[in-house]
This record gives sequence, structure tokens and C-alpha cells, in this order.
Amino acid sequence: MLTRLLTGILLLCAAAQAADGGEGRAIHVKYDSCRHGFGDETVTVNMFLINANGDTTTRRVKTLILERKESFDYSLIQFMDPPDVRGAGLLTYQNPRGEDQQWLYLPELRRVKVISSQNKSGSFMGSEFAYEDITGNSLDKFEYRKIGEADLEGMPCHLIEKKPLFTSGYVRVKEWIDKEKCLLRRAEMIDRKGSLLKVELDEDWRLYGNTWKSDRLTMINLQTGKKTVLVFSDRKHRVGLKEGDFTQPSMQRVRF
Amino acid sequence: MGALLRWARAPWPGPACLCLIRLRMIRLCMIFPCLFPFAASPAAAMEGTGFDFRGSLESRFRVFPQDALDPDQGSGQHAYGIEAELNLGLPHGLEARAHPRLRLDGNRIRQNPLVMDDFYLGQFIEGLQWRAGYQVFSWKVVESYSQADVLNQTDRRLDLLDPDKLAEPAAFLRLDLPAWLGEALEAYSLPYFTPGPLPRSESRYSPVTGTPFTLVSDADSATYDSPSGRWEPQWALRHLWRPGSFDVAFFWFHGYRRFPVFAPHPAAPGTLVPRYLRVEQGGMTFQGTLGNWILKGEGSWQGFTGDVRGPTGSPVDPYGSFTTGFEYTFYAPIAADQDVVTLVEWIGDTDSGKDPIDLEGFRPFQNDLFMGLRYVFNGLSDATATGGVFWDYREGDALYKLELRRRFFTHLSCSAGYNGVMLGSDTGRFQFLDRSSNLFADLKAYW
Repeated sequence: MLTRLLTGILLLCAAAQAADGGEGRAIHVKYDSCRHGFGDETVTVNMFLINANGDTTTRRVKTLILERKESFDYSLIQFMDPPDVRGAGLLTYQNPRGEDQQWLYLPELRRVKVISSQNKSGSFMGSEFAYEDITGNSLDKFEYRKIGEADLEGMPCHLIEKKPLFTSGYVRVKEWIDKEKCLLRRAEMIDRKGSLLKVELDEDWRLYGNTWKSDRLTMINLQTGKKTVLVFSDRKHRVGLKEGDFTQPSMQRVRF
Repeated sequence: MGALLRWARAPWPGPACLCLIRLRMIRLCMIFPCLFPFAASPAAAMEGTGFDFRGSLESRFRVFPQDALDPDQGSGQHAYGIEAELNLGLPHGLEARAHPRLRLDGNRIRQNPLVMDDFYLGQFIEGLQWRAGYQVFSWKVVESYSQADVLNQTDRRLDLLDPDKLAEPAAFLRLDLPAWLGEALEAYSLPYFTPGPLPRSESRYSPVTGTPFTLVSDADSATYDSPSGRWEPQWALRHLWRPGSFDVAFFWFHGYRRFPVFAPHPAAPGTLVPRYLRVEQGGMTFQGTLGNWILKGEGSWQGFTGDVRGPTGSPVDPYGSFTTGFEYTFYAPIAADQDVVTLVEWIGDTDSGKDPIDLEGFRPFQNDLFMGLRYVFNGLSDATATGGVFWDYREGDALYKLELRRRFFTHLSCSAGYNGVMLGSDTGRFQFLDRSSNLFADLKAYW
């Protein structure tokens, strides 16, 4: 009985995967390849947090990323503003097939603290972006399906539905990927209750060498009315970062 | 006035000592850059260059609602501080940092005209890091009472349980290791010992409150177990490795224990002076994740160099101590943008249950549980409400803290709360903290 049940589930999964002939994943592979291959990157991010009343506060971080084999990438986010958290750092060793490892540096205590990366739905720096929106986008962590095509502001787009294969705050994400450049333009996140939770807008795409990067990301929470806008500036690729720049002591260095 | 000036200088060596320290530091600073190659990549080398400055202005208030045990101990404390952090990044991974702090204490309990929290030169290159100068280190991985964070002296004039750290003159070297040998090896050389400032008669607590003794807490009157006195060479080694999702470190420390014992003054009966014991201390720390759980712990073995006896004359044997526990976070249990962090830690040592009179001196936590709860509001102000309690399950004593903290207008942070003391008996170890419960409010402006 159990064997039959398992076989049935496997067949259903295979059918779902094959429903679009793997086209959804293929589009995502192409989108992923457009954004990667930069080697290493430093970028300053201004984060505008806007509440439902329109009150705005600004945060600023500097991000360092090192691409590694098979997407086992390293990233270091150093907080620059507000000033009371300045110098704090978040180091992430991405694991595309398992749990990321993360450490938080607290400058006031000079301590490096291990933090759990298991819950990816937690808010990133009090913003509308969850940790999984920032760091959890490895290709193999989702199942993809092309569900149709649609125009977005006159731009023909593939409509892709992706389902997380890890414990996520979303049950599925609907994406608009433009047909011409194969870049993500819009995403809608559906929460565990099946309601539309957030809308992400990826704008100001620019070509840096051979790599496309969005320099403006907006996340709107439709349930709370809050919004966060990330504006990227001073983006540099191939600055010569090494694995040694992504260690616990390196979190204690002040980035200029 | 002279005594005040000595107190003001207490955490710092005198001018002659400073010259010697400077000479040693200058030598170290000259030697280290010559020993190691510069960063390989010019682009990466330039990435860390620049100058960064930040500072803060702070005021602290404390009110003690209960009458003091001693008439010298006032019912309120207020202090004002200004600090600056200056970081200079130079090519080839060289860096210099200064962190001076000026504090004016309304009650003159902790009058430190100028303290340097950091003042060092260092270099950070692939596989290697070094620093020389005044530095603050941290080996702590637990949230409550650390058994491993032994390198820096602390200032206990205002707080026994969570005292501010003082910088140590030190040379530090870290070598990244090949994977099969672990992660890194760290070496620390501490050429000069700084005696720790102890509570004054105006402080709201004192180790001799309620006893017939007088404590001479002047740093110059401290005694040392080594004939080299403050110049006893001290060193430490730490080996770090990362099995799976855990960070593990083994350490060894040779030097003076930072917290003194209080010994009778040879020439003044009824008077106690601080005595610093030489120790060999080894141990390990770990922190890691198991799903949503964060597990952490510190263990330490401490042996004394020389003959150390308790007040009854019985010899004090080496002992082990530990703090271990877990942290678990409930994400959005009530509202979508609010998290709850829970924490439990167990603190103990191998002499738990022994009569304190058979120990070498005061050991604050021997059989305690620490339980904490933090409610985090992930909003614009990053507000948090924190509560924590140390509970001695043998004596029944409890020390607790409640705190609210939030940011205003981006550059202003405010915290307020209550430090409470509940004594389970008249003979407990924390008797000297009786009536030191207090309300506090701290305001800090950053730029």
C-alpha cells in the first residue's frame, strides 16, 4: 500500500515537472546565467523603509559577494546606517543544496554570533524583504513551471511559477521574466494561507560587463501597506576579493 | 584629590610603564609588517582604504529606590560620556584604529577623563592577520556568564555582572590553517597586566559591604603572585575549527586571572587588598545551529600557579566551570513583524556545593540557570523588550533585568529598565548586592 502511495506521489511530481517540458526551469537557468559570472562584487545599498503612513527611514549597507563553484557563494553585508548599528556585519556561506551558514558580528560587544538560517521568512533589517528574498535564490531550491505568457507594461513576458523546496514563508512565487533579455521584472509572493502577500518590482536593469544587475528593487507588502525600496550604487565587479575576505575576522574590518 | 587622580588613572599604567609598553609595541609594529608579504591583489588592497569617523554622546542615569546599606552609597548615579571611533585603512591591508572615550561621572565613582578602548595598528592579508597595540578581544559565545572570555580586564566600579571591558596592551596574530588542520590558529602576547578598578565606597555595591573589613581598592596596593608583578609575561593560544555547522575553539591562557581575590593587608589588620593569582587556564567554546536551534557552550579548566589557599587555610584545587545552553527564535508568533527569542543557559563549576570559605575567593555563578526572553519589533525603530534572570537553584537568589530599547530619529537610541536583586537567604553569595536594585535610563546620540 505504502509503495503504491509513494509511486503515485512520484508519478504526480514527474507529471507536474514535465507539464511545461522543463521550460520554466530552462528560462530560470537563462535568467540565472544573465546575473552571474561577475566573479566578485562590491556594492552599496540604500534601503528606504516606508510605512503605511508614508513615513520613511533610510538604511545603508555595503555588500561584498564572491562567486564560487556550484553556487557555494560567500556574501558579507556590512551595516553603515543607522549609526547605532554601524559596523555590524552578516556573513553568509550559501549552500545551494542545504542550509546556509550565517554569522552576525556585533561591534559593540566585539562578538561573532552564529545565527540560524533555517527561518528564511524573517525580516531582513526590519524591511519588507525576507532573508529568502535576499539570499535564498539558488536555482536548485525551487521547482519551476511555466504557466503562461503576459505583457507587463507593453513588455512580453514569460509567466513562471516557482515553488520553494525548503521551509519558506511562501507557498509559491509568480514571476514575470521578459522574453527579450530574460530578466525578472515582477514577482508576486503567495503566503501559506494562499493570499497575495508581497509584490517585488525589479527595475533599472543595467549591464555590468557581461552581467545584468537590477539597481532598484521594490518590495510592497499588500497586507500591511509597508514598502521597501533598495537602490544599488557604486557597484564594482572583479575587485579582487578572495575567500579570506569572507571570514569571521574580516567582518570586523571597517569598509570604506 | 591625589587619590582621585590615582583612581582616574587606575586602569592605566604610570608614565614610566607606558614608555616601556610603547617601546615594546613599537618594536612589534616594526617587526610584524616585515615578517609577512603584502596583499597579492592591488585592486583588493585598495578596496579597504579610506578614513572613517563616528562618535556618540551618552548620558546614563540610575536611581536606587531602597535605602543603601552604607551611608556613603548614594541613591542616584549619573554619568556623561563622549566617544569617537577613528579607522584608517591603508594600502596592503594595513589598518589603524583609535577609540578614545571620555567619561564624566557625576558621583565621581568612575571618573575616567580619557580611556582608550582601541589604539592599534594591524594588517589583514590573505591567510594572515596581526594587530599590535591596545585592544579589546572577545572569546565569548554564550549570552550570560562567560567562562572563556579571559583576556581583557574589566571595570567593576558600577557593575559586577556585566562590567565594561578595558583594552589590554597586546600583540595578536592569526594564521589561517589548511582545512585538515582546522580553520585558524591565534596567538596573543600580553606584556603588561592592568589591575582592574574595583568598587569604591560610593559605589552602590562592594565585596566588603556588611563585613567588618575595609577594602583598599587602590590599584597601586594590589599584590601579585609573580615576582615580576605587572610585567609578568602573559600569553594565550586559540585553535579554531568548524566541524559541520558548528564553530569550535580550544584555548589556553597563561597569566593573571583578571578578577582578584581579597587578601588581608600584612600591615593593616581588618584591611583587605586585591591579590592577583597566576593561572593556567584551558578550555573550549562551541556555537552552532541545529535547524532553528542555536546551541552554545563554554567550558574551562583553571589551575593555580603556586600555593593558593582559602580563608580557612585549606588548599584550593584546580577546578572546571561551564556555561552551556540554547537559543530558539519564534518567528512572527503574534504579529508578522515581531519575533520572540528565548534563551536558557546553565552555569556551574566542579566545586558547586562546597562551602565558599573553602574556595580561593568569590565565584559568582556555581549553580545557576539563566533564562532570557527578547521580543523584537522589526519596525523602523528596531525596538526590543528584553528580560533575563540569573537564578541560583541552591541558594534561591535571583538577579534579573528588564529593559526596553528603541531608536528615535535615526541618530538617537534610548534604553530604560530595571535591575533587580532578590535574595533567597541572609547568607547567600550575593548578599553584598542587597538593596542595589535600580531603575536605569540611558540615552545615546550617534553621528
